[in-house]
Amino acid sequence: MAARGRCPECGSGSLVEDAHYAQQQLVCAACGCVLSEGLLTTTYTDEEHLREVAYSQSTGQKEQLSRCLQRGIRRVQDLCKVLQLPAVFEDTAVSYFQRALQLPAFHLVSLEKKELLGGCCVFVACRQHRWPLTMGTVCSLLYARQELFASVFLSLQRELGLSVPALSLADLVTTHLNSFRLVQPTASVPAPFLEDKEQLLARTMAIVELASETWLVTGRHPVPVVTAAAFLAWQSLRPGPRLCCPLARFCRLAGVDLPPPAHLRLRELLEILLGMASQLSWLRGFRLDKRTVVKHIGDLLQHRLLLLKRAFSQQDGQGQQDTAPGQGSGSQGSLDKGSGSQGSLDKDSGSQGSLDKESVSQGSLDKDSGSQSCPGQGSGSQGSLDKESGSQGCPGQGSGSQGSLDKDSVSPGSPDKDSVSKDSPGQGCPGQDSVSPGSPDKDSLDKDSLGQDSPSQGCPGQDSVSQGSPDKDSLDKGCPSQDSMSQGSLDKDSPGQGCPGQGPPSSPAVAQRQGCPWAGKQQRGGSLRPLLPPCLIHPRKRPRPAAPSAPAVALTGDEPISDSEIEQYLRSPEEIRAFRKAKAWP
Amino acid sequence: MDADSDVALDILITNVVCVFRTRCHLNLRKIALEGANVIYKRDVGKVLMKLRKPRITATIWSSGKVICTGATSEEEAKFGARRLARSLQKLGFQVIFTDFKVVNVLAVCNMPFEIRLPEFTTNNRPHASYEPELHPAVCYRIKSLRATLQIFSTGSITVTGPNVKAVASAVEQIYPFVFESRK
Repeated sequence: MAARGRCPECGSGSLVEDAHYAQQQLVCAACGCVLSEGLLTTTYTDEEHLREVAYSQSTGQKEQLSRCLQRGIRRVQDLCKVLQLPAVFEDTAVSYFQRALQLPAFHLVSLEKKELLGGCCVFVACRQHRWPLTMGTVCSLLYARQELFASVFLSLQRELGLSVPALSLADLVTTHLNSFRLVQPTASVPAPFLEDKEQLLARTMAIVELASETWLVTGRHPVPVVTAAAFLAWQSLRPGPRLCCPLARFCRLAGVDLPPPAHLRLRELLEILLGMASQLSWLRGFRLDKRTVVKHIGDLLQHRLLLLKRAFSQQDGQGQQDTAPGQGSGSQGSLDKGSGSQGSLDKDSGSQGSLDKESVSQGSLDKDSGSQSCPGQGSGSQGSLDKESGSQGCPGQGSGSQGSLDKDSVSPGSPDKDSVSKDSPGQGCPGQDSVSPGSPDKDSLDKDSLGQDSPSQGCPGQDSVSQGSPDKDSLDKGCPSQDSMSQGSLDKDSPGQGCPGQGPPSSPAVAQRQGCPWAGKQQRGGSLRPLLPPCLIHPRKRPRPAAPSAPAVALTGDEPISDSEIEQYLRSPEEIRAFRKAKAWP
Repeated sequence: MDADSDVALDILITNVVCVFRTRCHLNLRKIALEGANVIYKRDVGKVLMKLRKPRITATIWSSGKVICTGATSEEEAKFGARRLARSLQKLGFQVIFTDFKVVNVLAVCNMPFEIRLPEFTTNNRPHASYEPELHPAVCYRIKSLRATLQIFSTGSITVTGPNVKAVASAVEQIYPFVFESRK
């Protein structure tokens, strides 16, 4: 290029504009002398003039995330790492977070809420991938209040229009149990308390399924249900040393928090199990309470469908058996047949009423099935010879059947069961009871009839009777022997429980004698409760008053208002003066 | 029972909320001094006045806006609001009863059967939201009626809507869905 001027040193005219790194220089091509140099640095104002496009409008701005967003994304990623979630979850959560922060609803929101928003995104991502993460866990990790978390979660769901599938209980059970210290062999837990994970898991699942079938899970927080179920499962796997361990201690050993509703869930589960146990033929004689029923949870779970059907009336028709003629006591009829009892004394056939199906299935020979009226039906099914069960009311049958049945089943210990059973029939229809004992039932689940929870009424006596207790009458007397006899004493505690001593122990027997349906109904009402959500069965609130069908005078809203009505809402002058003085208002 | 057949369901209206304006500035201190059955909340700047018949609680602001709650029907709400305006008139204010509007109606209805909530939620995905960890009921929103229903597993349904008609039609709309998922 043509240079302007001449080099002061050599006088040559060839000057070149060059740049030494960032510095512009005017250099002589001949001798290399630097004539002038440009500024090394420019000022901000100079640069501003040089810029064509403002930074805020350049694409660089969009590529860079705002600080708030960056921090939030980092929090989400940390949370995923702490929870050890797969990478897919992290990506999903981060994308939700970014989308959410762009919405106006989450712009001017407090920092606490923004942090919770990150937690909510992780929570939603887990739920959508069927990962059982509970809100409690996320809240505790974020040190957040549940109400605030709930409101942020609901607004996120609404704004982004996400469909969040429900928490799956099965996965929750697996995850929750994995965190128990009792299943890890290295824990500092006494040996009798350690448990194998697979077994505990299987049994807890079964109990949780039972709970969900009996309205204990709907609408309730899932974690206390799982905790209570795990506790029962753990106790039942080795009842000996573990029965005396309360729920609080169990949670401490397991290293988990005890949620407050867990005690209530436990109580409800035990109630259901006791109801089912009353239908189990080989347990009828025993008066089980909430501790002893734990020992039989395994059996109860195995036959749970059947037991549930028998123990809890699905419709109101179930206990109507009073028709059974023999039964006099209606109760039996009702109880036993499980409604099916068509009242046919006859053993077999009729019996199957509703419940007896099982008996039938059992290959009961049936007579007993007929037992609908006789509690004994159950026995019939046992496939035993039973026949007598049919005895619906015929005392004799009972004995007959028992004879056969008993041998096998009952034999456990009381040879006289047979005899015993026989006499039970004696009472009028009591035969049924005896029938039941006849049922060897261990196999058969048995028909329920009287059994319904011994605890419920003195009726347990019947059960015992069925067990072959010497006789109902004696039941009342509280003969413990029956129980023991029947099951070969399955239940140590039951002995004596069989004795109806309770409440109206004699009622069943009496009822039988009188054959009055009243007793039956009483039993039925007491023991065969409908399968409803617990809040309906034990209502705490006062029922709402019925809607007024039509007011005496239909209001239109435009009626005239008289002065006298209004006077009551105004103070009189003396009152005003007194009030003013009292309040000392100026 | 066929879901289409007419079922007589008792819808019990438990609360009706309405608002009206008095078109004049109200001196809350005077109301608190001379009115009976009033509670003056000076920190918040409002006065609560309770009427006995109909049983209504009114929140009165100094701007002249009044909110009445506790009525059990729309007509009762209007009657109560007018009574309140009348008593304010008697206290000496130049009250004009204007802009009366029923804002919210809360009603309760009982179904004769229990409802399986998880099943109901899966069948009614976008409208129904069920979080057992938060609340025992399913929250079902009907956008067209601007009504929200809370459906409990016992069969009890709580409906809130802008007026009684919307509440009634909301119950009618929900009945077949709830019937499907009954026990």
